[in-house]
Amino acid sequence: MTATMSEAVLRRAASQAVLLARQSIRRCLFTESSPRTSEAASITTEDISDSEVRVKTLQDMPGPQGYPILGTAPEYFRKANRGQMHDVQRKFHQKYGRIFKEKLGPVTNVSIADPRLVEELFRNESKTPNRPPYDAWILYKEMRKRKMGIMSANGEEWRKFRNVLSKKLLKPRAIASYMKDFSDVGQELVDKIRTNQNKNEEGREVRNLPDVLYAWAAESTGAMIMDSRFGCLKADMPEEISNFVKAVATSFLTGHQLIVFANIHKKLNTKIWRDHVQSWDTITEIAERIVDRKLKELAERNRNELELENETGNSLLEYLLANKQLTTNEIYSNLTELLLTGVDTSSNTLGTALLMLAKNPQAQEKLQQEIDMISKNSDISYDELRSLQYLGAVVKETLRYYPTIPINARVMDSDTVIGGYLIPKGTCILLNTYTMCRDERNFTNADQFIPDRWLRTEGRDFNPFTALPFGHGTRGCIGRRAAETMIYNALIKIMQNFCIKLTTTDEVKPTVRTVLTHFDNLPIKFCDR
Amino acid sequence: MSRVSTLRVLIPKFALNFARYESTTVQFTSKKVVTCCVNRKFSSTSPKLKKETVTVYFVDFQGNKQTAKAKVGDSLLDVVVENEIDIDGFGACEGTLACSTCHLIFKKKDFDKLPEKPTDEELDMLDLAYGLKETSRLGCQIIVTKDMDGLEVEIPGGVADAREPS
Repeated sequence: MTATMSEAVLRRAASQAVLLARQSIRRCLFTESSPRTSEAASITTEDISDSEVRVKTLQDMPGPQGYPILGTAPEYFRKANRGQMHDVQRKFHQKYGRIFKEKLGPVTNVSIADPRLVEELFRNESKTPNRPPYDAWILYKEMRKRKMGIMSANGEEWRKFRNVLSKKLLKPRAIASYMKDFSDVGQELVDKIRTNQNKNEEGREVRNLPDVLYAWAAESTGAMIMDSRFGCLKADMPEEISNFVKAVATSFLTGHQLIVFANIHKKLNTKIWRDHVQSWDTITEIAERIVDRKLKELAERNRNELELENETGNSLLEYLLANKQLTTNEIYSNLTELLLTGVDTSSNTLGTALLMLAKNPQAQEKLQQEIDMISKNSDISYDELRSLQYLGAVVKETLRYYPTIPINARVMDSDTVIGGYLIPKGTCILLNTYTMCRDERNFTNADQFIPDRWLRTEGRDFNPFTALPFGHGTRGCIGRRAAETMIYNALIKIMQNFCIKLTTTDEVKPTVRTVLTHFDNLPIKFCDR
Repeated sequence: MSRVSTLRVLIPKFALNFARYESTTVQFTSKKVVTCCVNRKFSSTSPKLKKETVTVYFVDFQGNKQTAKAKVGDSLLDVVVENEIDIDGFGACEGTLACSTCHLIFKKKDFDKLPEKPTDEELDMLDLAYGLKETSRLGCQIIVTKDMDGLEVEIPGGVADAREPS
């Protein structure tokens, strides 16, 4: 079965090769006449002029052999490699180079870990880039007849969602209007950390720190999307929200585990599949309940204020209702997926940032000095926030050291030459951000946490395509600006109130379950300043 | 009605023009008056609402020069879109600072005169632009001003990414 599979892929690749080779030569000409021959393009030129019309195909690409039928899948299921997909990929790159192919079950993926290849890929993107959703998500949505949202949709459907949502979510000016909310939630986070501190010890650990950070992310995201305060950080997190957050974690974990053979798991109705379905059911149900409540509240307000028709509220939900480009079902699916993607990613990024600051007291001190220059008691403006260069550098360096999404992915919708290889359309390409970010060839002292490398006054000496933790282009993370602004606000409040220290000298190892997380073991304590 | 016409005489014409767009900013008219004026539509003798425009030139990497009417207050990305200047892939993210496809290169003297310095967000995106130069900016971040009349900007080769000309 596997043999015929790969044969078919190769036959198709070969039939396209001639056509593509011709195009590639034209591309070379095009590139040479442009003002700057980029490094990426020059590699293509070299590779092609070597072989005249012959473009290398997947057949020529190196990569691990793997087992029959299963391919390399067993490698990821080995005990030592569980939750370490980023590291397995890194080791493959060390062995096979900057581009390799692997068979994962029935599909052949291509992995890249070189900024020049990443540049080639992004410059070849179509108007509707495809960031492939997990098979398991699609199977679930089909089974429950649910609409796709901004995270899971592709093609024109995705483009419509993106056009509407990005205006309110990505423009810095739009994000500036949430500054007060983010800052208030940051203060609530500090209060909650104080409440949860173990009282008896010097330098206090915080009980359930991951939950506290989840609560912070849910509260910030909720404030922005719905203009609703869930009250996650007030006393106990509302049960509804805590179930939501747990379901999100489960959905990302099981989605990741179901990366191969999802349909077989579904047929056999395995525990992983059942957990996956259960988590999505919970996510959808709770998110819809929250949206419904808000809609009811808005309807009542409308009844009282007749003039509201042309007025758009500040929240994303109100904007979508006024904008009328999305149907109600589409609003549900998109808000659900925004909540889902906003919570796990931003909380883990903040957690990792705190860990990095605890591990690097000098960086922490420098950050505190910068933050101490702004007033502790007045609201800070978006422009002031922008002026905090070191804060930005700390978050960027955190995301370089431990990218929250360590492996990005794309499926190209036409045959594309990357690194001199013809990659047939429909092939999943993995972009190994983590591998590139920790490669000594890309960053000097790659295994050291050095925020200063991001300061423009120091001059950046690395290829910017190496560290794109949010991706790039029209399919780049839509919550990027919101996440950054939330995290900046939280870090400001935390740094104003605490020093963070490690509680262990042991090495701390993250695991990957779609997001890279330290929440299984986040050994830090908070000392009052 | 007579009250309305009296009021109209009292209101300067520019204010009425303004009011068609932003009724909230004209505080001295009641909403009723504004609605009335809008419904009446202006006679041909009234000046039509028109933003002030200047002329801007876009030069592609092959030296072809295209002329565009640019409304003051619009971004250079808006200008490219409104004038239907055909640059494949230009402004892919529609001005949301998620890509660098609206990359433009200014002449040094024009670059120095630009009122707003690039923000960090813009600089991060510019780093990823094809053919970056000292005087590069993103078109979506440059707002047209009156004194930009006659401005000439270069569209670097490869804005269309590495895609094939179709």
